[in-house]
Amino acid sequence: MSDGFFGKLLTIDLNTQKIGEKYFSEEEARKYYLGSGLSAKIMMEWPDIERLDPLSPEAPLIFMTGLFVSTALPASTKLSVVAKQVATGIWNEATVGGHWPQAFRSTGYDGIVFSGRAEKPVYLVIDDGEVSFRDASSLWGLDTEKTAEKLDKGVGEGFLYGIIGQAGEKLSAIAAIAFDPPNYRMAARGGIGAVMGSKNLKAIAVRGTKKVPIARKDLMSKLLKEQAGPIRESTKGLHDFGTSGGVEAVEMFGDLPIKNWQLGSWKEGAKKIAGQTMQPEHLDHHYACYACPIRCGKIYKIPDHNEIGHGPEYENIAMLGSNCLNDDPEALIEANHLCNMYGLDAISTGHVISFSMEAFERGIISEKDTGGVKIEWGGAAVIKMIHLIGNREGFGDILANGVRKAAQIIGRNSEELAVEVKGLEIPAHDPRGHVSMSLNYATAVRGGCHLEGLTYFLDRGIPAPDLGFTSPPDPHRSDDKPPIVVTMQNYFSVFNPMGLCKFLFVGRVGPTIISEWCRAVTGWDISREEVMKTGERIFNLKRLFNIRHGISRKDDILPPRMYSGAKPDGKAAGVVANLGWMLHEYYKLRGWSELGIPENEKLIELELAEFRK
Amino acid sequence: MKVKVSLLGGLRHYYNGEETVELEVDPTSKVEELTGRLGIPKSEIMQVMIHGLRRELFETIGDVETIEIIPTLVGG
Repeated sequence: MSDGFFGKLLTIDLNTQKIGEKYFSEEEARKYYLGSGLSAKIMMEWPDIERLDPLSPEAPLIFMTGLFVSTALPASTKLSVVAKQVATGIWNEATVGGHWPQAFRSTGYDGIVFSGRAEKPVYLVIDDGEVSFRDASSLWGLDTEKTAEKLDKGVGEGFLYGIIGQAGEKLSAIAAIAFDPPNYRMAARGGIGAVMGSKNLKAIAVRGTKKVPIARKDLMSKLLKEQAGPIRESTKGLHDFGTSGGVEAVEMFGDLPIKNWQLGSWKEGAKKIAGQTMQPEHLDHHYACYACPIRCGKIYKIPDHNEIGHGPEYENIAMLGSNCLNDDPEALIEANHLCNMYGLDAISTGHVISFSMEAFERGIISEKDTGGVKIEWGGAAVIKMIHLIGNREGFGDILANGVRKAAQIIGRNSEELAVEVKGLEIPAHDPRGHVSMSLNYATAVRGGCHLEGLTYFLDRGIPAPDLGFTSPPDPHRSDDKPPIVVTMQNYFSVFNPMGLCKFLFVGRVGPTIISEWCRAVTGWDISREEVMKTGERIFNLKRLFNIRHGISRKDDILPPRMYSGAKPDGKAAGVVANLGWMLHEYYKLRGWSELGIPENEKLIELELAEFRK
Repeated sequence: MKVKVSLLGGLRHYYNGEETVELEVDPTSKVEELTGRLGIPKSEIMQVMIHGLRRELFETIGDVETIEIIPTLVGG
């Protein structure tokens, strides 16, 4: 055990229920950190990884906390859940905060590596280092909420759960893993819940008392004293209304997806479903993840359910709301809650529904295809479709494959309406409203992912002087974006490995602060430059994983609607990114070939030559 | 003097729910005094536009008729 981590992963073969331990060195921890960084190394070294179907028993499923999780550092709460992406087999990391990651790390492990498939449904109990399997037959088929209620009676007090719902059991490509119900934090993207379902693993219950060893408690106290106040102050807006407080601003910037990404403006609708409008009537209380001074979570009363649940975040409001022309707050809150109960990725679910709504309106599909369901714009159809998708019933069974495969099955040019990159539905930031997001989406390792670059933060005026960004770029220009995207991707590549929430960027946390935190936790003499270099290494390692799976420049593209279809109105009207030129510059800056493959010199520089094939 | 202040992109929620408000303003006062009166946290302001030109929070308002306040709020 070294300062900053236990150096120990739990290994579980579900075929045999064999439990073991795998150790990693301080050198590995410094080179990749933990979370999705060390997981990337494990994935690259996994036998025959490129041959494995994501849902095959031999395929891995990794739960790995970030390096800072369970320390007192602000917003140090993130767990990476890593596997092959269900729709395509490429890289996937789904990240989650809340309290489960801290509770898990208190068991004395930094992560779990699963392989195999249990013969019958099981759940896992990790009680302060003691690991046991339990029969989950009576839980199979239950939603995440009912599962948690039953677990409460079965495992004892003080446990927290990660659970799949019906969507994960039924191997939906848009299934998520739900943590900490009824507060609900979701590891949502890339069908990660289906990987858990494919292993017949219904839930993981954890509690523990072990402490992560801290190298320099004095330095940690000093930094916390200096930095917590300014972080809290500069994230006040996030605290007041959560991410949902941004809906109207996003609409104003031409960034909001509306009517399956067809419209540029929806001012009155955005007002109705903004957090500022919904919160006064529906808020039960504010919620904070472990060690977080921002407290952006909002727990709502769920209408007609006599219970509480997580209020819809911005992404969910946009994808289940504006993109489906659903301006009914109660229908939106219900839809969001249903996604959590079924264990569905609300971003992807919202998009497959908006996709089917447009297909229905255009006559590409009819009631004959949908089993009599009228998939019309608005909240009523959203709720109906979530039930069908969650249970994989009727037309919902087709949509549960994710939008790429659903469009392939439907055919009839429906691919034109599918808004995905590398098979992953893009989230609720329109790459025409922020041109930098075009390059981000095209090159993000897991496909249509906003979190790998988050360059729209800069466009909105959040300064990052430590990265060289002091004034907002023009959101609609292409020519200055390649270096911005490279820097932001490299920087954000250390967040999941460190276990840090990306809203710390809004709190003005730059790589210098992260290097100070790392010094306090691990005792390493680490610089700002080393943090950035490690971010670049991790980004490239994950790119190499994708290249092994056939990814290259041909896949670094945008869907037709984003590439050649400008918005008709709003602030981003007429804007389309010059992606071809940006990619050319981006590859040069990255040290990649014209095909998008890292050159040998770059791999040597990043100490990744061992992964060259 | 009377100034018409536009609170854009949801910033109206920090004041009284109105998107445009008319306020009595001292032209020698600073922009941040105005935003402070409206209860808008500095971290939520991307920029302040006065007659189409960007002004910093520490600058003096001057003899103007309209002011637009634009938010940083980012969604998630």
